[in-house]
Amino acid sequence: MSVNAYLSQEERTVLERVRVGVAGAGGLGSNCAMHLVRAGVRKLVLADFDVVTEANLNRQFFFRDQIGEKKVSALADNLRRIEPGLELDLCEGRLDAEGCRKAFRDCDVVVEAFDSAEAKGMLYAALSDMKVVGASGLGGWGRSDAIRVRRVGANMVLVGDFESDVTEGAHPQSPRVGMAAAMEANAAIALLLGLEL
Amino acid sequence: MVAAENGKLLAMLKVMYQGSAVETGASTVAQFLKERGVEPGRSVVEYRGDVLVGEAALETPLVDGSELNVFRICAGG
Repeated sequence: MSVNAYLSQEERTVLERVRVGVAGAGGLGSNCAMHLVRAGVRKLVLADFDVVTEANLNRQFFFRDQIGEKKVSALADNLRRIEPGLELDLCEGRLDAEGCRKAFRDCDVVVEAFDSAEAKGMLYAALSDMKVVGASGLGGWGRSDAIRVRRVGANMVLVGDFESDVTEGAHPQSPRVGMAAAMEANAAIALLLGLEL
Repeated sequence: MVAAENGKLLAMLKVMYQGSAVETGASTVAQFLKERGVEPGRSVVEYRGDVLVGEAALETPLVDGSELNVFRICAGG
C-alpha cells in the first residue's frame, strides 16, 4: 500500500517501479527525498559523505537527536518513518565523476542536491546522458517568484534563480531551500510520469 | 553584415542569447562566451537544444540564427 492514496493505478505502478538518485542529503536532498517518498517513489539511491550538525537543523530534514549521525543513514531512518517499505541504497562516500556514474547507473532520474558549484558542475558533466534535475540559486530570503524551472537540453531540468549563491551574506534558509527542493521533486515526478514540468 | 576589427572584416552573426537577439563577431561558442564574460566552468551551456559538456564541445562553430542559453551554477544546497 502506497503512502500516497491519491495516485491513479498507472501513476502508482510507475512510481513504485522507478529508482531515483539523490546526490547530496543536505537542505535540497533531504527535503527533496521526503517529497519523493510522500509522492510514492519507493526506490532511492541516497548519497552524501557528511554528518548531521546543529547548523543543518535550520533547513534540513533531520532532528536534534540525529546530530553526529551520517546524513544518509539518518535520512533513511526518517524516510522509513513515512514509508517502511522503501528500497534504499546508501552511499556514504564522497562522489567524483566515476563515483556518480557508478552510484546512479540504475536510476531513472537523478536529483542533483550538492552544495558546491564545482560538485554540481561535475555531476552535470558526468551524468549528461541521464535525466538530471539540478538546482542553482536559492540563497537568502524573499524573491520567491525568481525561482523557476527550466528544461535544458533533452535530459536536464534546472531549478533556481541562477543568481543567488549561498554566501556569508545570503545563507541557506529553510523557506527558499525548501521551495527549490520541492520544485526539484515536482520536476522529477513530472519527468517520470511524462507530464508537463 | 560585417564589422572591422584590426583592419580585418569579420562576418557578424545574429544569435538568440538568453531570449534576446544579439550580434557577435565570435565564430565558436567558446569565443561567444568569452565575449560575454561567461565563465564556462560555472555554467551550463545549452546550444541549439543540446547541453555542451566539456571544453571540446565549446569549440562548436556558432551558426547564424541559432539559440544559446547559459545557466549560471550557483553554490548552495
